[in-house]
Order: sequence, then structure tokens, then C-alpha cells
Amino acid sequence: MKRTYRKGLAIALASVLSLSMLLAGCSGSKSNDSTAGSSAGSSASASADSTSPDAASTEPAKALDPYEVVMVYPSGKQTDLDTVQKAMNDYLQQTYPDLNMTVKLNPIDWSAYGDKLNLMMSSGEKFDLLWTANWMNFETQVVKGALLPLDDLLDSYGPDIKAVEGDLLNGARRNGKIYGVHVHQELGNPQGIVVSKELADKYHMDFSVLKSGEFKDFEPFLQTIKDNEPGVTPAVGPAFPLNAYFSSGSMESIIGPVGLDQHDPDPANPYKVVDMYETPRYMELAKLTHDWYRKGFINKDATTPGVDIFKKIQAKTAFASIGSDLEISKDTGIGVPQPMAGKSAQLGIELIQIPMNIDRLHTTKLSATLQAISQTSKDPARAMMLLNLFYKDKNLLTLWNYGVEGKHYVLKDGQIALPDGKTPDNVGYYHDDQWQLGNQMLNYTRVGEDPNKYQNYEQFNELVKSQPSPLFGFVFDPEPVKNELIAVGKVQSTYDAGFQSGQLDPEKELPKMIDKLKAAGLDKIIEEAQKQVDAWRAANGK
Amino acid sequence: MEAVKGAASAVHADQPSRTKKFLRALWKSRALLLLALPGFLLLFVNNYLPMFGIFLAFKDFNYAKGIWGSEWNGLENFKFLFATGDIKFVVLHTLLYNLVFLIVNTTLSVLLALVLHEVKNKWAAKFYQSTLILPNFISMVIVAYLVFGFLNPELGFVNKSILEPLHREGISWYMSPQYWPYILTFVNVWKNVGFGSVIYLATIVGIDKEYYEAAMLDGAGKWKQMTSITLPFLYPVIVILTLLSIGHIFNADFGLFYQVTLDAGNLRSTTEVIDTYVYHALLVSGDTNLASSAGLLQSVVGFALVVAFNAAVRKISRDKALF
Amino acid sequence: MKNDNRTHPLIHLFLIAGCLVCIVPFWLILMVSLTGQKALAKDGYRFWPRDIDPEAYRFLLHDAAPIVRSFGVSILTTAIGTVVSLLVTSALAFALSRKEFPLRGFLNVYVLFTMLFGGGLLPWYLVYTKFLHLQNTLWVLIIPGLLGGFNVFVMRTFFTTSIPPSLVDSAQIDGAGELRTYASITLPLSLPVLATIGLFSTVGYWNDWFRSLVFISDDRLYNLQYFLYNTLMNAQYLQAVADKAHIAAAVSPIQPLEELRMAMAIIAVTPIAIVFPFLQKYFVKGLTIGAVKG
Repeated sequence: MKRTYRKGLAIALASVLSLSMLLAGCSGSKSNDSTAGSSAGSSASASADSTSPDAASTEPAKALDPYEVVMVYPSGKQTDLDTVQKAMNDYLQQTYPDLNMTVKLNPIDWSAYGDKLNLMMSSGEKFDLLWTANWMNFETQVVKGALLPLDDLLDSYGPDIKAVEGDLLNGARRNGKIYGVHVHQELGNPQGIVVSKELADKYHMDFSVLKSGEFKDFEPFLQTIKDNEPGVTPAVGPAFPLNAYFSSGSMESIIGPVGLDQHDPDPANPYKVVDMYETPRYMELAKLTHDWYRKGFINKDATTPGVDIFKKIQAKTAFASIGSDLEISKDTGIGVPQPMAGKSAQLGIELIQIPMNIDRLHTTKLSATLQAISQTSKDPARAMMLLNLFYKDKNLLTLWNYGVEGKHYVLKDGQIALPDGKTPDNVGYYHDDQWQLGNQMLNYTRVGEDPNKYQNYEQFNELVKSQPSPLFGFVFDPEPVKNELIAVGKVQSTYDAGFQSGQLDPEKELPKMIDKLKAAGLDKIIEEAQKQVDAWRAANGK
Repeated sequence: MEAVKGAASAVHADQPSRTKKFLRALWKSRALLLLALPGFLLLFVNNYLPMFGIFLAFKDFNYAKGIWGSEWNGLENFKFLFATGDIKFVVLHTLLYNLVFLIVNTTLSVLLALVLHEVKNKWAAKFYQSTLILPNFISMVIVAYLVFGFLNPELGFVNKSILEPLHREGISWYMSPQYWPYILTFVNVWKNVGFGSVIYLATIVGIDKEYYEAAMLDGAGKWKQMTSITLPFLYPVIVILTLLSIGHIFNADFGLFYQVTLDAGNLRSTTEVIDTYVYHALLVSGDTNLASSAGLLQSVVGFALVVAFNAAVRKISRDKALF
Repeated sequence: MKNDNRTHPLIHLFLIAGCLVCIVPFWLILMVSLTGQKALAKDGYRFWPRDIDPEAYRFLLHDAAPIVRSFGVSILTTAIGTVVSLLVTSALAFALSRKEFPLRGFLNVYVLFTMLFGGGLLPWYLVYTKFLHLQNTLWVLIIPGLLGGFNVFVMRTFFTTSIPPSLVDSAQIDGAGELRTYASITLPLSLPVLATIGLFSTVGYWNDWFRSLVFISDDRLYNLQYFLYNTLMNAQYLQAVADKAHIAAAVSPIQPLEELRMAMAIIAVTPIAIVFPFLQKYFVKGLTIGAVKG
């Protein structure tokens, strides 16, 4: 009795399970099949269009069917979203009637963006343009087939994109194909030191010694504060010399802690891949940081995640932040102190920034904010046409950026200001997501910003472009060593905070960490990276 | 549903009387069938239909190909679990923490329920119970901030207002893994004991007063009453709740281990559990398949354990078992 | 029970100590939510802040309409959800508690299985969107939370151990069918467990934001928790994103983040904390079976 009872139980349960899977299967495969079918169909039509661009322009252009391009991007909810959307559509109808397209804005809350986008893609939901980034699943999306390759579409429908971005588009090239369109913006940042102007003035600090670009030259200033201002922490982290400065200026990062040593490269072999922890520069900076910690220059809660350093400066309990990203101003240069206008206005205190490092042009920066086309799009050509407009049409871009003139903003001397009596919360349409879309150099600036902000960006861009990273164009494929990366990442997480905040003594602990890293497979990663770098060099004649 | 049951009973084809008996019993209890039907359907839609997703653990999911078109990749998605070689420690941690939590929480919850029951003043009882249950309503994110408020190396309550006046060196809490098993257990108890005691209290309240009256007449004191009436009534509930917890013994409260520790890297040697391990791997590789494969393993092992323990309980006293 | 009507003082002491441990953090949360930003950065968390400033509340509540709306959504889904959940759960638990039910064993495993195995987020999402088309409706906020295996088992255990079988038997001898037994005998005697599960249900529905995140894009259907979570996350993400995307300084003013989180916690918890004492009477001594028996 017992045996047959259990058998019956098992069979019944199994039947229920299989029944449910069958049911789910039928509906599931139906919807997924239709998606696969349609995307194949639309990409076929897209390529058909692109193979005969001449034909399209010489014969009377065949009338395009009306199409709604759905734009997905992360942003907060806007009360007047519909108004702005309608304004954009009216504009499109008036100015580009041949394109016969309308736009549907589908902003998704930041907090849900990653998950929701993933669900939309997985369930085959139809949408066209999406914002993505290499720090927001772009790489996974490419590998898992969520995005369409854009080369042909760019050739046929993206002339302005190509004119503006040019070779920079290659930053989003994976396995030979471009999968995202980079937003035209600043190509990097300076990093360095931010200090409170009040305290700097009080002690008549002259920062010209920092033109050396060396952090240790900042020490006397820290000492001054430590000696004279008891309630003020001289330097606050989490970023210290070791972090920002190191990874951009001294080390050309490939993946994790592995990369090319830029500070002390081997003249015979500039492309030798090493791990950063073993470079002499790392030890030097780690010792400096530890020294500063022992002298009491650094805040004790630097290792605690989520600490807001600027709030400390605002509350006058801190003097300097070391290793922060800085703003781009006119004539930015190493060791040149300038007011940090934006952040000062934001916090209500006066800040001075002193760059210690200017970013090189990195491939990773070029995929830090992208627009891509989903493989669920039914008319990718149209999506590309719309995207192209954002690179040439100032009016369209302004609509998306700032809303409807008069209602959501007014122009004062060519700068954007809120209409009288309105605040960002009640004006109906206000966001700071301009960096997600289009050619930013077409943007208006806001009142309070440097009116030449974007010209400054272009100037800075030239500076950045003039020193491209030696690995520019190289993208590492982590697949062969993905398990080692997980293991190495784990070791790093145990020690990094300690070194960066100066709390660990590098002379004792660094060798221990290096041993652990090797045990976790660091050498395998180095080998693989070297292999890929060499292959890339050979293929690209470097 | 009838068809499914019919299929099950068809197995007993060689004993037609048994099938007939079964069907007749079914018909007799058709009212019960009716009562069970909504629940059955709900679980079917909400839980069983999605189960086809278990396949995803064995597939290399591709957005363009969808769930059905994606290729099978066997056990590939499970390999990352063994990547760092310290999976055994991670699993051990998970197990140990859960065992400690189970024992400590159950003991304290029962104790609390017994004690609360002894409070004669209605208003006091109401106040106590409402207060003790409050921590459960706070989300782990806030709890993490509370803990931070106490353990912040610079401004935290412990370092600044307790250790400093005593002229002792402030402890760098988020860099010292050795304290955290205790901290996490304390937080877990604080959050769950009040809430857990509710079930036990509800059971105690349901005990017929006549038992106590009879016991008093027999001269039994408070203690004897508790051990011979209250506790035996509580045993079935304790057993069931324990069995249910065993099913989740390889699952950790992600909020507790990830948010309360602020995901400080240094603490991982004592606080890494399966769920945070998977999450970290996910961050590095960007591959969401990993989560489904780990989850599947956790479920399978948990299920096996519950079945095993349940069988053991059945041997001891049949009606206390889960099934 | 009439012996001594005074509770042992040790018990009071023990319970008061426990309550302090629970209340003190709440007090701290409340205080932090009212602390001005500068004071917070300077002094950290204090039990009595130097500078009281309800800035966070002003920020959250400046626009009352969406919050009131989301409050309404929460109340509606919680109320409907809890009531329906109690009905369905108790019905199933009752069936499972009756030895006469031939499907008992099967259903026990059926329920248990759902507690341990799941297909994952994506298939679940697909069932509700592609299969049932319930996205952006109130139903999708209610249905998934209606039946939890845990609740079923707790109720079932209560039915089998705390309801005297003699009562049930005598009722059935008198001709009551299963439905009648369920409705007039078992349910009335189960007030403690119904209140317990009702509490779990209420808390579950009230605190849920995940279903809103996944299924709701129409902001008129946001519930309170999701609304709050959203406000916080957007502010938080903007700050975090500014770093990652190397955006030179976000122009929007720094939101009072920490105070915001704490204020959110207070707003979210207060309604439940108020409701609970009313459910209390079902847990406190005084409810006897005797009354019903007579």
C-alpha cells in the first residue's frame, strides 16, 4: 500500500508538472517564434534597403509606412511626458514628413532599469532604441544577442552620426560589428584633488608645486590642516592616490588588476601585460597612503562603503578629497587650480580643483553611454533615422533635453532657465539625462553653467584624443578566464579597501595579497590577456 | 484535474477494487475537493506554470533565440560555483548560520511566547507585543543604516559614545570579520523573534483552558503546567516550522548578508554565503544564468533534506510530519 | 485562570528590556529622519539631533497627490489581498487537515514543492504578462501573494492540533457536511491562527514593492512602498551614476539621502504599527473555546 501510494503520488506530481510545462511551452514558443521570425524579417528588409542606397535616392523614394519608434531609457517619471512627446511628434511631422515616424518615449525608473530591460528583452517585447553602457550590461547584451549590429544601418541612415563621431564609433565594436552608438560628449575627465577654498585661502596655500603631478607634493598642505584645524580631517576618501590616479595615469587597465604599466614600462616590451599590484609605482603610492594614514591625515571611515565625502566638506569636517573626478573647464591642465564651478554651486560652498591626471582616450570610455537598437525592433532603419536626427537637429534634441519652450524652460541669453516661479519639481519636465542621447555639443547650457561649457569639452577632447591609450581599440574577451576573474575579484575585495584607505601596511600585506592572487589564478589571466593583446597587435599592425 | 487523478489511479489497474474505492472516496469528499480547488489553481498558475524556467539553468540563454530557441549547455552554468575552490566554505557558512539562526530564533520565540502569555495586564501585553514585533517591519536596507549608525568607525555610536569615553581604541568594524557572526546573529534575532513568537502565541491561546483548570485542581504548579500542557501543544508547530526551515537551509537572507555588511570586501571571510557568492559572480560575469543554476541546486538540496527529515519525523510520531 | 492576577516582576523586566531593544532603533530612525543634512554629516546619528529639520518629509510629501494615491493603492491591495488570501488558504488548509480527504498526501507534496522550487523571475514574469496579460492592473499586485505554502502548513497544523476532533465528529454526526464544518466550526475557532496569517498577509502586501517594479509602469498604480523606493532609488542612482558615467557633476541639488531613507522607513511602517494593536485582541489571553462550545 505504501509503495503504490508513493508511486501514485510521484506520478500525479509529475503529470501536473509536465502539464504545466506543456501549457507554458505552447504559449511561450509561439510568442518567441514570432519574435524571432519578425526580427529576421526586419533585418532582412534593412539589409535589402542598405544594399541599394543609390536605388533609393535615384528612384522616387517609396513611401514609408508610418512607424512608431519606441525609445527606452532610464529616467524618473515626468508629469508632462505626453506633452513633450506630442511636441516632438508634431515637430517630426512638420520638419521630416518623409520619414513618417512618431516617437514613443518610454522612460524606466533608474532603480528598475537593469531588471526591467532584461525582462523586456527576454520576453520579446517590441521596442527600438535603448540606452545602454558597458557598466550596465552592454557586453552581456551583445553576447546574448539582444542588440542588432549597426554597421550597415549607420552607413545608410546615420550620416550625421558618422560625421560627428567618426572613428570613435569603433569603441562599441565587438567581434567586428558595431553594437552601439556613442553619445557625443566629453571623452574623459581630469582627476585630482578638490579642496575647500575657504581653508585654502585661510592658510594662503599655493598649489603651483602640484604641477609636478605628484601626490606627495600635497603633503605639506595636509600637515598644515592637521596641525591647525582639529575638527577637520585633512583628506577624505574613498578615493585616494591609489585609486583614480593609478588606474588612468600609471596603468593601462585591461581587465581587473591586469594591464600595461605606463609609469615604468619596459622599454624593450611596451606591451607587456602585468598585474598592477606588482608594479613599483603601486607599492610607492600604497606606502604614501599608509604613511598619511598613520600621520592622521585620512578619515577612519574611508573603507566603509557609501560614505559621502562631499557632504563632509560641506559640513566643514574635511579639507580635501583626493582622487576625485573633476570638472572640465577652459584650459584644464595638470597642477592648474581652478574653481570647481558646478559642484560649488550644487553644494553651496566654494571648491577648487587641481587636476593631477588627464584621462587618456580609452576604449571603455567610448562605450560608457550608448544608444543601441533592440533585436525586437520591427523597423531598425527607422530607429536609426531617428537616432541620426539627434546628432544634427538642435531643436529635436532640445525638446528631449529640456521640454517645450515657454512651458518647461525659457531662454535667457541663450541659456536655459526655469520659467519664473517654477522649480524642477513642479515644472513638469526636468531631468539631467542629456548625457544619454545625441550630440551633446548641440545642447544649450543652463544658467549658472559656463556658457562655453561644450566648447570647453571640445577643447578637452582634443587634449584627450592627443594621448590615446596604447590599447585603444582593443577589447578583452573575458570568457576563457571568467572563473579566475571571479576568484581574483574576491581576493581584491578583501584587500583593496585596506590599501586604498591606507589602513593596511603594504610592506607586510601586499606580498600576502599577491600570493593569494596567484593562487586564485592571476597568472592565467595575465597569460590570456597577453595572448589577446599580441593577437590584436598582429591583426592591427602595432 | 480529474483526468490527472484518473491517470494516477490507472496505475493500480491490477486492483480494480482499490481504484474504485479511491474514486468513491473522492466522490464522498467532493466538498473538500471544492474547498481545495481555488488553492490548487492558484498555485498552479503562480508556481507550477513558471517552473519550465528550471530549464534555463541548463541553457545558454540568448535573447534573440528566446527561451525555447536557446541552446542547451549542460552543466556549464554550474561550473562557476566551483571556480574559486572555496565553495565548500561558503556552503558551510550558509549551513552553520542557518542552523544557529534556527536554534536561537526558535528557542527565543517560544520563550517569548510563553512569557508574553504570562502577562496578566491586557494593556501591558498589547504594548509589549506590538513593540517587539516592530523590528520585523523595517526593511534590511534601513537595518543596514542603523547598524552603520552604531558601527561607523568615526561617528558611530559604539566607537564615539561607548569606547571613546572608556578611553579605548575605536574598532574598525567593517574591516574586522571576527565580530560579524555575532553581529549578524543579533540582527537576525532582533528582527525575527518578535514576529516568530506570534505563531507560538496564537497556538498557546488556542489551548483549551480546561486543561489548565484540571491541572490546577490536581495541584500542578506553573512549571508543571507549562511542561505538561503548553509545551506538548507547541511541539507540532515547532516541528512543522523547523521542517519548513530545513527546506531553506541552503538559502540565506540576502538582505542580511549583503546589505547589513554593506558588502565590505574584508568581511567576506566570515560572512560570505551562497547567495552573496552567486551575486558577486554575477556582477563579474554579467551572466544572469548563474543565479538560476545556483538557485536550482539550493532547491534540490533543500527538498532532499526536507524529505529526509520528514521521513525521520514520521517514524517518531506520524501526525507531526509535514506529509 | 484565577490564581494570582499579578505578573511576576521579572517577566515585566525581561519584556521591558526586550522592548527597549526594539524601540530604541526606531527612535533613532525617527530622529535621523528629522536631522538636518549638515548636522548629520558632522555628528552622525544622534538620539537627539542638534538641528531638527523635517527636510526629508518636505521633500517626500511636497507633492501630496501621488503619495495619497499610492497610499490608496496599497490599502486597497492589502485589504482585498488579505481577505481573499485568508479564505483561500484556510479552505485549502482545512481540506488538508481532514483525514478523510484522499488527495491529502498528494496536495501536501504539491504545496511543499512550491515552497522549495521555482522557475525563476523570467518565467514567472512571462506567465503574468504573456499568458494572463495582467500587467498594469491591480490583479497582478494581488494574485501572486494570495497563497503561500508556509501559511497553508501553519494553518493546517493549527486545525489538526488545536481544534478538538470531538467537536468536529459530533457536528458531523449531527449531519453537518464538510462545508458546514469548515464555516461554522473550524473557522470561528481559528481566530488566533487567522489573525496570525492575516497579519503575515497584511505585512506581505503592505511591504511589497517588487511586483510593482516588475509589472507596473503606469504611475497611477504605484503602491506606497514602490513610490517611496522609487523616489529614493532615483536620487541614489543619480549620484552613483554621476561617478560611473564620468559625468561632470550632476546639476541637480543633492537630495537629503540618508534622512530620506529614514523618513521613508517611518512613513512606510507607521500604518502597520498602528493596525497591529487592533489585531492584538486575537492573540491576547481571553479567547476561549468554551464560549463557542456552549
